[in-house]
Parts: sequence; structure tokens; C-alpha cells
Amino acid sequence: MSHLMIARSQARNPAVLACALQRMGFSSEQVSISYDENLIGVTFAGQNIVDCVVLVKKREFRGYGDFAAKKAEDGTLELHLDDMDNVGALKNYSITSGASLVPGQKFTERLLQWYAALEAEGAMLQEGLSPEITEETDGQLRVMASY
Amino acid sequence: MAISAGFLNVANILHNSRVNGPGNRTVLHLAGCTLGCVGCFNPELWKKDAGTPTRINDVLSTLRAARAEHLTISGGEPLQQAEAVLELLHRLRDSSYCDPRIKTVMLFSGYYLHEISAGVLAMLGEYLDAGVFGRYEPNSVLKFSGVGPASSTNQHVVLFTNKLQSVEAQPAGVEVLIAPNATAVTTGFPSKSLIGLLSAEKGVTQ
Repeated sequence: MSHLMIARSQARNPAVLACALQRMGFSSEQVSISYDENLIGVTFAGQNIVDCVVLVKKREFRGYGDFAAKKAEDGTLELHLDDMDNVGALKNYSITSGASLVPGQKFTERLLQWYAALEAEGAMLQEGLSPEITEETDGQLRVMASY
Repeated sequence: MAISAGFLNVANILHNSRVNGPGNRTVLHLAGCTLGCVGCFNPELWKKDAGTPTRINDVLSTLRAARAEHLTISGGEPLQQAEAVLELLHRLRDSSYCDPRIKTVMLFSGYYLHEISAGVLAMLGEYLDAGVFGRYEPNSVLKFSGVGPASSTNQHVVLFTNKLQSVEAQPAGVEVLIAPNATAVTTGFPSKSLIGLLSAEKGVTQ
């Protein structure tokens, strides 16, 4: 049965999460960001998910509910989405948009993998390096730079 | 904690690294080091209890299962468990223990060559393709340009065979490998400031 799930994460930066969503196949027009935390998502059951900072409407991926990220009290981002979309519509949309997922991997797992990769890339850029992200055949993401 | 003969004190085995020597390498990190280099890249591996005593046969099984092509032994200080390291290196030569064979082996040690006993050094020369020797000295840090995998200018890169000649031309680097469950491993030569930037606070869960 379809229901809302909330995935805790170590992610903190809405802009980086939005970039990770783009790596998962969504365009910048499909992903909304609000630093005022005023976006509102809607679940399969029609309930609102309020105070969101990142939002992808369900019509964009033909899902049961919207994909939304909210800030938890500790500043980390909580991912609100339909559990069926996590293994279905969101995942399928990503795959058909060219994103690669490991067999059995859920949408949120790959998304947070990309989030970590982009944060690592950003850290290396901040150090003056020129990092490259590569997708390995075993499903790992490699962020590498030479001095 | 005493490590029994036939066992290595293994902190972790990392596959598919590209910054711990040339090629796609498996990195065997051994735990335990008393050298205490200031600015060490892996201070968390100084304590012996950072590792798990692991039968050498089990290490070989892991290498075989991963179809490891190239091996780098690092630490901690590998030569503080030299007997077991040499036993591992000896068995790597034997296809009945390790098939397919490991193509190249290199080792990082904080000991200078003159601090290593002649017997151990002779055996390292027999089994290794390359080694990096000497303490890490933060005051003589390289600018990491075409200097191989040494991380400070006082260290010596020794080629025991001609298989890893490219090691001297390989620029030092850093990599973050992020597994499908989003856990990350940072390896290579990250600066202290980069390590800080790669903290779990940034969502790069170590």
C-alpha cells in the first residue's frame, strides 16, 4: 500500500540536493528551491507537506505524491516522498532520463550518493583542485582530483 | 593486543582505488603504528585496536574474490608487522594461494631504508615492485606535481622492478569513493583542510 515515507539524511544544503536531483534526471525547471521554507508538497492522500525547501511535483514523474525536502531541527534535510515512488515512479523516471542505479537501489539511496559526491566535488574545488566524478560499474561514485 | 603469527592486523581493504599508485589498486590498510608522524594522513590507524586480526589466508581469499589486479599495502605501519607482511607477499607469488596473480605490489612505510633490517629489505626487494619509505614530514610537503605517491620531499620512492615505473610520474591525488548506500571513503593524500571540508556535516558520511 502506498504511503508517505520520511528518509533522514546527513544532507544540509538544498542547492546541492537540487543539483543531485538534476543528476537523477530532473531539469532545473522541474526542481523548486525555497530558502524561506515556504514550498508545499502534497501526498498521495492529499495531505500537505509544509515548510519545504526543495520540491518536485508528482506530475513531473507521474508519481503517487510529490517529492519534498524539509529541514529537520538539527539542520539536516528530511526527504518526504511516497514509498512506492521511491522504488517506482521516481526511480523509473531517473532511469529513463539516463541516470544509472544499481539493481535494487532505491531512488533516495542514489540521490544521497550523488549528494555526497557533489559535496566532495565542491570541497575539492574549494581547495583549488579540478575534481572529476565518475560512475563505476559496481555502482560506486568516484570523486577524484590530482594535485 | 598481540597479533598471532599468520595473522595481519587489518584495518580495512579498499578496492578500486586510483590514487594509491598506478592503475586500479586494492589497498590493504594495516592497523598499528608507533612512529607518530605529525600530520599523518591516517592517525586513526595508529592504534592496534583499529584493526582486526585476520588470517593471511582470509586476506588472500578477499583479494581473490575481488579479482584484485594491483595491491598497495599501507597503514598504520606495515613493517611493524613485517613477518606477516612478508608471509603475505610470499604467498602472493604462489598461484595456488592467489589466482589470478596480483600484477604489481607496492608498499608505503614510514621507516627510512636505513632503519629496515637488511634481511627484511632484501625480502621486500624480492617481493615488491615499488615502495615509498620515510616519515611524513609536514614541513617538507610536496606540491604534488609529478612526484609520484610520496607525500613529503624526504620520502624515497624505490622501484624494485620496472613494472611500476609510471609511479614516479603519477601526480599525487585524492579520491572519495561513495558506495551505493552513500557511505564514503576518502583515500590518497587529502590535505587537513580538505578532510575538514569532507566531514559528515557535509553529508559525506565517512
